[in-house]
Amino acid sequence: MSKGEIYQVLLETKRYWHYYLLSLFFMILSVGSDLWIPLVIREVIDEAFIREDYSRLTFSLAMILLLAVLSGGMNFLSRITSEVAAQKTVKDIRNDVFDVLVRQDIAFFSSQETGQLLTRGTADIEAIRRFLSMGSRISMQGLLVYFGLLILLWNIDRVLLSLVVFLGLPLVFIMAMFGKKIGPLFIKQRKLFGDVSTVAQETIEGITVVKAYHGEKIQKNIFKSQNHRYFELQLQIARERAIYIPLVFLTIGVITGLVIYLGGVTVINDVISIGTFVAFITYLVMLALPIRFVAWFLALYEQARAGSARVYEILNRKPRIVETESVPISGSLKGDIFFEDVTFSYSRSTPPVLRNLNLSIKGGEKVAILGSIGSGKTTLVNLIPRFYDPDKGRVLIDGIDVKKYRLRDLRKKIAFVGQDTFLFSTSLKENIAFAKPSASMEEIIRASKIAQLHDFIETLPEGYETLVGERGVRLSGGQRQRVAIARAILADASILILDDTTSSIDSQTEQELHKALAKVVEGRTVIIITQRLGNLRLADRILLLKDGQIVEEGTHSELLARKGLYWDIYASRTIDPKLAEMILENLTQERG
Amino acid sequence: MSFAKRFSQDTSRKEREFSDLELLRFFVGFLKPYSKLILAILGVLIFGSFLAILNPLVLKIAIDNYIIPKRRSELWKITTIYLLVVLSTWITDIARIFLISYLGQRTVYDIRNDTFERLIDLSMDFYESEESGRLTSILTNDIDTIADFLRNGLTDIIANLMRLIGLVAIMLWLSPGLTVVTLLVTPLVGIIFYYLRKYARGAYRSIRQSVAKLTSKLAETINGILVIKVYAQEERLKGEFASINEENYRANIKQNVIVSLILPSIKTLSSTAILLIIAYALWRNQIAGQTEVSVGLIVAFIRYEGMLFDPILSLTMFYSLFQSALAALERVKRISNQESSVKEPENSVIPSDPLGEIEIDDVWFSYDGGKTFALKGITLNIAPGESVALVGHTGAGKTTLGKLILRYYDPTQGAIRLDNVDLRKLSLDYIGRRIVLVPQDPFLFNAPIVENIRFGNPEASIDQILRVSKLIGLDKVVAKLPEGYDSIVGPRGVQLSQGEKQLLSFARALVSNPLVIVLDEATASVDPFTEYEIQKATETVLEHSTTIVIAHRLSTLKNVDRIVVLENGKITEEGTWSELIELKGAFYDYYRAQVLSEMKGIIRTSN
Ligand SMILES: Nc1ncnc2c1ncn2[C@@H]1O[C@H](COP(=O)(O)OP(=O)(O)O)[C@@H](O)[C@H]1O
Ligand SMILES: Nc1ncnc2c1ncn2[C@@H]1O[C@H](COP(=O)(O)OP(=O)(O)O)[C@@H](O)[C@H]1O
Ligand SMILES: [Mg+2]
Ligand SMILES: [Mg+2]
Repeated sequence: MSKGEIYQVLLETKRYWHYYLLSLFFMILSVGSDLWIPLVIREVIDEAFIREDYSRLTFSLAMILLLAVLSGGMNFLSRITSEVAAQKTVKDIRNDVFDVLVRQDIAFFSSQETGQLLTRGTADIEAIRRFLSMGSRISMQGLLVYFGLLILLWNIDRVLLSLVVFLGLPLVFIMAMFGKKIGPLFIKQRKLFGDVSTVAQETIEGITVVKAYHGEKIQKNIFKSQNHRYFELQLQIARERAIYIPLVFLTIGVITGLVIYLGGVTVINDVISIGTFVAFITYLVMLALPIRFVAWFLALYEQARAGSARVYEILNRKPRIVETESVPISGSLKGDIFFEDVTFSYSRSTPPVLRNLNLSIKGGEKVAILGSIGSGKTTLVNLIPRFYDPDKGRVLIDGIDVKKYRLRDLRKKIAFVGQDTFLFSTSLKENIAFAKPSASMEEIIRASKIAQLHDFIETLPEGYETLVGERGVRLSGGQRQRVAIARAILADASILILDDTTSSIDSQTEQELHKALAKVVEGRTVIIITQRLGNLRLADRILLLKDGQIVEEGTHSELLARKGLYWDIYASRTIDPKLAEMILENLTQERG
Repeated sequence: MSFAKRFSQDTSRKEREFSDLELLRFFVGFLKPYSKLILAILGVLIFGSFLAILNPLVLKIAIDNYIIPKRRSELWKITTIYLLVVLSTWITDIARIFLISYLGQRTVYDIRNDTFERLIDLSMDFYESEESGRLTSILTNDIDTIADFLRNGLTDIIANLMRLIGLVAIMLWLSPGLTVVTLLVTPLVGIIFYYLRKYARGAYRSIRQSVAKLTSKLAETINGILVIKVYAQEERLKGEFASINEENYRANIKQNVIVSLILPSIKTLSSTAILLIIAYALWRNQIAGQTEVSVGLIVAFIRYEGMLFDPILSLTMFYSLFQSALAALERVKRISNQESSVKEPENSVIPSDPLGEIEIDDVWFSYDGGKTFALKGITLNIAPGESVALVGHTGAGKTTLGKLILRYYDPTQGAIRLDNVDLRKLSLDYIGRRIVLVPQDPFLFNAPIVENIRFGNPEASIDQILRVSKLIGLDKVVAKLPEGYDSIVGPRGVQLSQGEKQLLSFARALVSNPLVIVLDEATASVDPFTEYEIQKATETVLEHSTTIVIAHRLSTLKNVDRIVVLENGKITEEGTWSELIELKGAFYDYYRAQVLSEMKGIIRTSN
């Protein structure tokens, strides 16, 4: 792993450098006062206790009190300022992550585990937060205390200090080893935590299936084993901690022991005063604090490094779908759609889903796409709002390559109702008005009426304010689909794409829907993917897709006459010949 | 009906549901299995505290008894003793860090498993009122907070409390007067803690809530990314996310102000205590002559004082971690306390003869506790092996009835029986393995295809999987994939087309050898040709299973034994295909409407 990401985090803090500077200033005052106290104590001991000279005693005692208050107060200010800076940085990073995340292409989302993304947006950033807020404080305080102590010890007794420094050298080695051991473990830890999150999230999202097959036991076992892996790793980390951290204190303890002996000898030889000796030992014991901080800092640092690597993996990812020229769209589109020799595959290792496909749809035309499962219908329409870009060939709208449009404008002109209806866990009203939050109640009701939804909503006690639950679980399948249609109607786009959006709707409702829809789609381009011939009512032309190519094209009767695939897949199996004849007769009479 | 958020916890529930004591008891419950380990840790901690207290004592002896009397030749003795203390400290440190981490991680592992297990056993109505991201956040982020507490907070507090007791004892032994003086300021610490408690808890609670909200928003955005992009609403969502993020920021700052206040005030108090020690010592010495309080004693007391405030300082750390953990525990306990509305029977019955007969006996069902009814008095008997179709408008209650047969919910009134036994008397496991549902929205795990199929029956052999796949035409789909049956399908199966997902979901049901199967629009997105193939396959594989089909393409229902029309939660018609056509009632109307619609579609594209 490169060190890069944590530096990126540090760069983010640059914006708040003045906070850190202020915090440092307060910290210097605080640590300074702290370190001064033993000096005053030394004076008190040497003067008042040994020499019985009380002239400066009151002053010294007042000094201790003042220093104590100063140290506490400055410590508070220093903490708060650095904390604000850290929290602001983290807030920025998190907002950036969200920004970058929603800008990613659809392909990114179909390859990422939701749970992993969730931990990147929460727990991994949390690791950065801990580092920035505690790490900065610890390192500042630690360094100040450390150097302050060194200077003091230097002034007290240089020989002893040199000894201490020499004996302290192994500490550097111990710390380095600790960092090296624990770093990779933390990287693994973040990943495993994401795995735990993934199992949880997936199980909860798929609870219907889990319950349907009584798969609770299976999921419990999967969760347990992920949880166990996380647990084992945590133990491994604990083991490293248990090895290295006590070693640090052992070293300090041994040094102190030696100082007691050697220092004692010098005191006995009257080289230094007993007060000096006491001060030296006191400071030496205080040295344990910054050293403990180093170990702590290292752990925080390594954790943040692991976290930021995962966070910046998102932040540094460039979306694949980018604007090339950003041609703005003002007003509405004519709606001409042209596929020019389009080839597309989802990945290099799979055969193309669309193969040299050519298709021309005139503005205002209504086209139905039929085809067996997996023939590429959804893929085809996915290329129009640029959820994906073709590998070869072009998709043109109104004669301009879709890549050249400003992405936002392009998508605003296309209302796309996907096969897998998605509702937000808010109210019906907010779901319908999703594309146009400013929509008035009349507009919302009008759209609901067209989608054959209004009458149902009226029966609900809370009407349009009714909350639909996650993904709309509190609605029936057909109700969900109609909400999605109402949403598309309200979007008022030039091109309407309906991908199998009436599969859960009964024919009678569907007919009503078509009748109402026919009026609003006047003049707009409509592409409707369907498995039901009833839906052809909206269409001027039928396209039949097979293995990523258009194999038949024309009106029903043209296709029927060919007795090709259309006949095989649809007509022969759906139409009851007797009844059809009867009704056809009726209808022709009605018309005639 | 009312969709009030029945369980949702984050809708500004500020009131405390559990007292701290209840939460602690709940927590201690998880520690119980490790009482031996805890005893061992206690031993280590006591020994460690003993050593920690010994350390300055040895130092005092060194100064007072060796250095000041200038006993140079014997100085090595006391130094050796000091080093022995250091060595023993080292060993106890190793044991302490490892054992405590082990206990902490182990407990958290248990809490996490336990919470997940309770969660997943909850009935569907719970899930319909919760957001997945929030639940995930409890299982991950919240429980990790508890781990933090165990590792850093609890351990220190025990060690420090012991140290505190030992310290006070030794201080009393050395000089009762100095001890009293040193302890004079400690009540102030208690007062500070007491005052800040409420604020700290509130701040931590809002942090936990905002983290859950962040997770939920992220999860929803990720799941709904297509819709967001379709309508180019990225900017709006960014705004919404940023405001939750701001909430999180504020809560963090608030918490920090509170905790930061404690620390410096305690430090100030600690230094004040030093002052008192010196003043007292001088005062005593003036009254009683120089010898009463020796220099060594003062040095020792100043160090003891520092050590005394050390535990108090770490009490702050503990305090903050503790409040944070309590806020998290509150959320965990709420899940543990959640009653499942579908309960495992106390004495489950096993039907003597599993045939697959379903008896629906005057079933009423309401999603909202009786305000409106989705099913209104359904009575229907389905013979073993019979196939019955449920037909009706969207929202008529077809899916609801299917879910009741699986016992996702219990009927508000009436009963459903399988082979003459009320579902409520059968074990959930029995129902789960014999009654199967293919839901309207296929859900796939982000796992290989073969595992997704096997979810229906963990014992299914590869042969069986291959056979079923071939029967319904799934093999052709799989053949296109580079890794065949081992291909991973993406989250929720997004790397497959909707129809392919339905096929897979269907295959999963077929390998499960169900006694009763509910097919809820299981092939709605499949082309008629494939659907026909599936139908043929189903007829052989599910020959002996009782089948309940919900479908809108009525022409596919000609071969079912019976058709039941559901309107507004009531059965309005029942009979075979030809009977119902003859009847010229609702079903006839549906069928006519469908054919008419198809014809109109055809006519439109014919001219
Ligand atoms: N995100 C994806 N990644 C990889 N393969 C995909 C993805 N989406 C669809 N496919 C594959 O592309 C083919 C065409 O899918 P699609 O266009 O959805 O079919 P349909 O005609 O049923 O709408 C299918 O074989 C499917 O497995
Ligand atoms: N989880 C739920 N909570 C509240 N109401 C629900 C829930 N699920 C369905 N409903 C309502 O119950 C009625 C019947 O739904 P459902 O059985 O899904 O209809 P369908 O016949 O289309 O399958 C609908 O009006 C729907 O809005
Ligand atoms: Mg599709
Ligand atoms: Mg349904």
